[in-house]
Amino acid sequence: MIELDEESGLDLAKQLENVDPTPAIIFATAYDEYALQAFEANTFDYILKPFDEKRIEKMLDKFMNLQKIVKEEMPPANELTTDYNGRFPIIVDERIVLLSQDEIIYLETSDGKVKIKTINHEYKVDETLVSLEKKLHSKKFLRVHRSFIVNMEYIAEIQPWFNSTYNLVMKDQSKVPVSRTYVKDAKPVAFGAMLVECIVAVMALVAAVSLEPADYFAINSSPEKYAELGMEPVHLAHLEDEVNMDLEGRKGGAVTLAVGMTYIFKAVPIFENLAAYFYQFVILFEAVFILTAIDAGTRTARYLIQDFFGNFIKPLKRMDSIWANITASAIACFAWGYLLFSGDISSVWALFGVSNQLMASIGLIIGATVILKIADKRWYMLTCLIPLIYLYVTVNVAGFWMIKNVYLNSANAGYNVINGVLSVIMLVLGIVIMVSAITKWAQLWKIPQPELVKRSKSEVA
Amino acid sequence: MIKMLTAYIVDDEPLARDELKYLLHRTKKVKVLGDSDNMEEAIADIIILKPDLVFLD
Repeated sequence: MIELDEESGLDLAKQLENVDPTPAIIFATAYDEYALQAFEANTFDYILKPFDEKRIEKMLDKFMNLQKIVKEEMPPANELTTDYNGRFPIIVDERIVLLSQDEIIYLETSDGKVKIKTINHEYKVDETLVSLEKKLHSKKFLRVHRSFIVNMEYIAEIQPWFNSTYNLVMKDQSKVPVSRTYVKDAKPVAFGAMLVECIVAVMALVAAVSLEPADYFAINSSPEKYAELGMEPVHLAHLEDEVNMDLEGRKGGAVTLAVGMTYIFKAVPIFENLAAYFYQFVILFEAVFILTAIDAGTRTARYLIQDFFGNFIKPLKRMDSIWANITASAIACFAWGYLLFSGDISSVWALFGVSNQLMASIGLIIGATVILKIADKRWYMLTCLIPLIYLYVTVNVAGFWMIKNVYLNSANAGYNVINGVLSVIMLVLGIVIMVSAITKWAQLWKIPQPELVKRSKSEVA
Repeated sequence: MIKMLTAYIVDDEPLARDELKYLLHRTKKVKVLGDSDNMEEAIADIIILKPDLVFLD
């Protein structure tokens, strides 16, 4: 069929004329009524289905002969398009402007012209996006949409949009859509990031199990509780000496990970005297990790603030307005600050823990849904469901315990209504997500697996 | 040794794509770089893969 999707093969043939090097186009179709139109569209050949091997051979010979002639007659042209030090010429208002590729933020086609957005200027040029794309030799440029090419160095944020599409926010605050077809190029980046996260998680587990249980509990429980356990620390005193830090009763994962990693690294002969260095290095590493989480959290908060309060104060909703962005960011930062001010780092830490575990639960819920949609066997879902059950139960039990015994218990030192209310909101949202996920799974479960897999192929970008 | 030609196939029927791929393979003159059933993907691939020939349905 010459009708591919909504657009015809003829349209594609016309578009390919702008591609460099222009490929030879051969229509291979069951219908002969388009032959005339096809040849008008600069087609090299037209072969009919069912295919005939001899006919194909003949066509190939013809092509190779032609190629030989073309090569002999046309020496390689001295192109104006080569980049001199990463710059390339564009024609603007009959002048030739040499544009530095590093300054380009993105290119957009509209009304048959291409808009080139640089840090300081906007140029409109009479060229196609395709012909400009081939001039941009740098690997920094990525075609993210039929009408957009972006310089990856200027991508500030990636926002999820409807229907598994995305919006890129560039560093100059302009927005660029990513179409589904091109999302696949952005996917390796996302998967890579997830894999790195997984490696860190595995590292943390390795660090935790490499510690002696007695040492582990000495770090992770208060001295009074530890005394009740009746355990004797094994290497802890020695480790404390080596890293020059107090390690007992240092709850939370950070110290455990640092001690565990130090314990492993110092077993390497050349590192044996570097225990203190490794301990501080891992602590620093975790700090960077947490800062990225806070950074991402602030950005998300900013969007939510802009989106929600923008309903009442219209100018706030404008994502491209730097003042709206700064105001919303300031509110988000103030909210962080207020949480710290109203309690202390350890009370925020517990909240952070709840939100983090809930986020992991959401990740596992999504993972389970994806597996259900694409895997050949349904029980593969258990790879996500088993950790999900453990995680979800522990976070809810711990969250509920904290609310009841600490945040809303006026006799407790950690009494803090805001933290309590925030925890309740988080847990309730967690439950809402869980319930809606289960309803979705129940719906998907009724569809036969082969059908589900087939459907997801067209759905997953 | 003569350089092999490169080709890309656009067709919405998987069977037709396979048939053409097989026939081209048998000629030993063409290497099929890729195939697609939709235009957007095809254009993106063709720009990147730079085939000598494009077979269109």
